[in-house]
Amino acid sequence: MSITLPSYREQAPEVKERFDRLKQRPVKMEVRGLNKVFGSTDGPVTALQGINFTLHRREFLSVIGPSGCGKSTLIRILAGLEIPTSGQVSVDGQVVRGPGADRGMVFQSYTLFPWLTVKQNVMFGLKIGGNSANKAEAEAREWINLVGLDRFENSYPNQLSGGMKQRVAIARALANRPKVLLMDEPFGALDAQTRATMQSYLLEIWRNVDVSIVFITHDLDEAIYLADRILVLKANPGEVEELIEVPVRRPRTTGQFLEPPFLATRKRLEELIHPPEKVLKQRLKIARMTEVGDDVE
Amino acid sequence: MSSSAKIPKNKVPWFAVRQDLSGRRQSFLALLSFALPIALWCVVSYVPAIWHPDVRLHISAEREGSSTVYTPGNHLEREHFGRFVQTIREQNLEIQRYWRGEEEVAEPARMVRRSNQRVLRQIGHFAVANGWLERDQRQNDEKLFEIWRGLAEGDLQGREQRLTEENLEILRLNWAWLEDMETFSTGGLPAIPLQQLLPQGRPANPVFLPNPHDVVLSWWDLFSEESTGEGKTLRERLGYSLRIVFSGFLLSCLIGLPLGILCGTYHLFSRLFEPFVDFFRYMPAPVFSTLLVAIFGAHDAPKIALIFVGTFFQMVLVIAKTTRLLDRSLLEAAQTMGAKNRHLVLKVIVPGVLPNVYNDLRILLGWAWTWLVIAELIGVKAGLTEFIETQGRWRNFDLVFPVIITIGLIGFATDQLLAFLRRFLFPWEPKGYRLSLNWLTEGHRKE
Repeated sequence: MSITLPSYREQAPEVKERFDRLKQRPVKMEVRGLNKVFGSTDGPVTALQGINFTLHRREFLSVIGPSGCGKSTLIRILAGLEIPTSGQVSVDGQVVRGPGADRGMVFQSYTLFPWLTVKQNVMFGLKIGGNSANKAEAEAREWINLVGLDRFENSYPNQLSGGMKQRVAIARALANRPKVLLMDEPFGALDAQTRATMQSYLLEIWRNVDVSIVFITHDLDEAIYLADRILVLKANPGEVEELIEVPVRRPRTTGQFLEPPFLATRKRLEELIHPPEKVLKQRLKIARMTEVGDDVE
Repeated sequence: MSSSAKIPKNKVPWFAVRQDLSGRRQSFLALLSFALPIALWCVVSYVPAIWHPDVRLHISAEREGSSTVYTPGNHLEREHFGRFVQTIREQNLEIQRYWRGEEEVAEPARMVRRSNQRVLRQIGHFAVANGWLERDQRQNDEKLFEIWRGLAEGDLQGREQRLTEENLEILRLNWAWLEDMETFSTGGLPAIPLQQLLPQGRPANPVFLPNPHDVVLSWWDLFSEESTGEGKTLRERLGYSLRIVFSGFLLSCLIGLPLGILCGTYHLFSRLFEPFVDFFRYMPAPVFSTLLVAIFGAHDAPKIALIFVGTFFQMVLVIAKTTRLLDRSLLEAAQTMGAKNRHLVLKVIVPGVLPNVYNDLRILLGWAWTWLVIAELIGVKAGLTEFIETQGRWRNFDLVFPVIITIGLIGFATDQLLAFLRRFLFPWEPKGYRLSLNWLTEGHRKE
């Protein structure tokens, strides 16, 4: 039995209207002709090739792709932590020449400063930015409240769970009022349940903050659930395979996981990332190790 | 029977691979690790049947025609001691021949009287040990004569030390020749040789292994000694040694810490300094001692410099390495919040590496103590090491031991204190890493 799904390109009128409005918003980040070549012992390896996309104000963009497609390289270039071989990234028309406070980042590994309390961690960027201690503290409190950790503001990071640490990391990045928030598989190290909670938290935070988000993940459901658009990369070389407009209505709920637009998008992503011809090629050659009757498959 | 169900305790067996024992057992074992060596020392010292290859003399051992004289307090190997006793017995038989008139005394009376005076003085130390004589009166023949009288007539009997029956017999026979004198006079000594007392003593271990109680007593004596103006007391020496160690080490830290952190932060500094430092550290600090004396004079400066040379180069490399171990992503995170180089160094690297640097310094401080021993011997010898050297040369090992143990205790106590302070200095650090007195307390807390 199979269900007939609509095309993932089909958009309900309200969804279509939303995308029209989104595209009219000013462009926050523009990526043009991005190439990245690494030198290696076997000669140069092209990690990224000809990447182009734009990110509008308050847009949520997911980046997804098979492993080795250069997702992490891409986001590190966006952050300014790596220099592209050619092409450029600009934020609000300004070409990116290195890391800066206008692009906050949340890493997969917990990068909270272990010697600072939650509050001091959130104050870090504010104080560097020249805010007075009092102002920084007041603002840090607000952000800590926003991520619901006011009870823990004086705890050290090693006293927090993984999910709490990432909430602090988000608060710390947002406290600088970045134009773009870059998230590199931020929930990848969390267990499934915490991850689901964190996804909902993130959507809620994003609704209340004026920030555009680039979110890297390898989890298809996560990409659809969170994003306005999904940038699908393919590996060797890392190129844009497709830029998908997610036809799922907002506000998102977990109930939508089983609705046709969600499933259609999911199916399309499966096709792109795990194409059937590839899956077949990857089958294992297994010798038969059991005498028991065959009712398992 | 109580109704509350008892939860059965899952006891970890004593031998369980890579499993922690309970706190109580940990504490017990920690105590045992000190108690066992001490117990071993006590057994070897106090159980006479074990070892004791020497004899510690009460009565001196001297013989005709030999210039070596073993005075009371000296150690003699047992075998050697036996031969000594035998030789003197034979000598005494010879002397009895004079007594019986079978042979004429060939030597002039003056010489005979002198050697008789030596026999009289043989009991000097013995008398002091029993409290019959002041230490400085050992040559006072009048008093010694009275003590001979007491011993011969049975009025005096040793409490601390006793004469053997054989020696008592010799003493009585000699007394027969002496008792004619009312009071002592050199001229009144008989012109016929007296019998020598046989050497006697108790079984003892070699001088290099003093008894525990001797060490404890001399430890107390040494460290409670008040300054008399002449020579340095041990407390003054200890203060001096501490000053040298910490001066040298602080100087190292003052330059080595910033340089190490710079090398760990900037590849530029790392390539510029580390290769040379790496080469330099293979030249052991002591090889510079004469050079340092030539440069800095003979007193404190070259000693401090030696400790500096011994710790500085290691410190730069170790701190640089520790600094490089800091998670790079912390730096990247700071950069995405707008941190510039200055912020990265002062606000991320320095606080980030501090707990590990602190541990490194604890280890390097141990090195400083090692170099101290050499430092104090260069130029004008000083401090605890000079004391150890001098007393060791005189074979006063019961004085050397307390000083060695004190150095160990100070090093150990400093390290324990630093380990303890670490928790308050770096409250965010996980509590692991305990190799300390905290075994005693912390073990229980964990339960």
